[in-house]
Amino acid sequence: MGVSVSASTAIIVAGLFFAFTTFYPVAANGFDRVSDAQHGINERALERQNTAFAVSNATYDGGTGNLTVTATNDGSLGLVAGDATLLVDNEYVDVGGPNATTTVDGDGDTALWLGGETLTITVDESGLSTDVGAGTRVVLVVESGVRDTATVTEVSA
Amino acid sequence: MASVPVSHLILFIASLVIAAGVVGTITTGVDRVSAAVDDAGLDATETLRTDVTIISDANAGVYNASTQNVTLLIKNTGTYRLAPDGSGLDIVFDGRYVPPSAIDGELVSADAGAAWSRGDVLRLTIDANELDGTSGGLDDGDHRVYVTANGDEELFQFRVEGGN
Repeated sequence: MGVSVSASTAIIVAGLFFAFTTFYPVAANGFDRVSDAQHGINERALERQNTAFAVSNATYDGGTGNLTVTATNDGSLGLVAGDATLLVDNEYVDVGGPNATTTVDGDGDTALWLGGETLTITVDESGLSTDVGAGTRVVLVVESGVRDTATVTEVSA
Repeated sequence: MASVPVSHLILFIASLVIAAGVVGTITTGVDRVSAAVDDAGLDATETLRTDVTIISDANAGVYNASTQNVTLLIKNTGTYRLAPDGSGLDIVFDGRYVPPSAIDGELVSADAGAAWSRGDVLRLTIDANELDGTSGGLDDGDHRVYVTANGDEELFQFRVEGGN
């Protein structure tokens, strides 16, 4: 009788040991994934904290049909000009597309919009389905979701 | 061998069999719990990584009275890829749930067939006539759109004026 109790206990203990060996990696992986995701959230929150920019003006030239939006990066985080989203009267404008050109401090080749620099986006109105004029609302959004708006003023040619 | 009664042997074998049965049940149970913990971890990660932002300007008008559609532009500001037709979004308009048949989502910042990943913008069109209790378009006044994506909630408020 004594041997069977010990043998059964040994079998059960061994079984518990193997079950724990199966369970531990799964729990550790799950914990890793969740804590990675939480770190990601904190990183993006810090990015948003360091992002600051202002749309200084938006002008429409009736003669050339060009809408020019200028924005200054006042924050410490470097932004990417191509990742910015421009909305004109709630219509999406592809900043990297054929109808728009972006220059940073006059340089058209760079994609970086660093702290202190001014981004200028020139949009050709013929590519838009909405009419642009004085009073049209323009929204500039960067990748993290931080955005600024401006109202278009008309500049006579 | 006659010094050990047969009954002892039978009891010994029985107890081993029972112990093996217990171990089998424990292992099966732990397997199931492991799978569930794995899934829960993936779900939690999905919820944490999802973040959307409604970037439409409320002042510039989102309601088109001639087509009776509300158009919102939604940017994916998280790191989780969402469905490019807006089917992963739950929309509640003025407190009423909007059925998927009234919603049309189209990715505007990427080509068709791409996923809605970080930085991409989705154009969401809500047919105002398919909402419960609405006929002939939206009434004048304030309206709220409450968008939920994998637990991330966004509120957008706008005004309709000037009559339909």
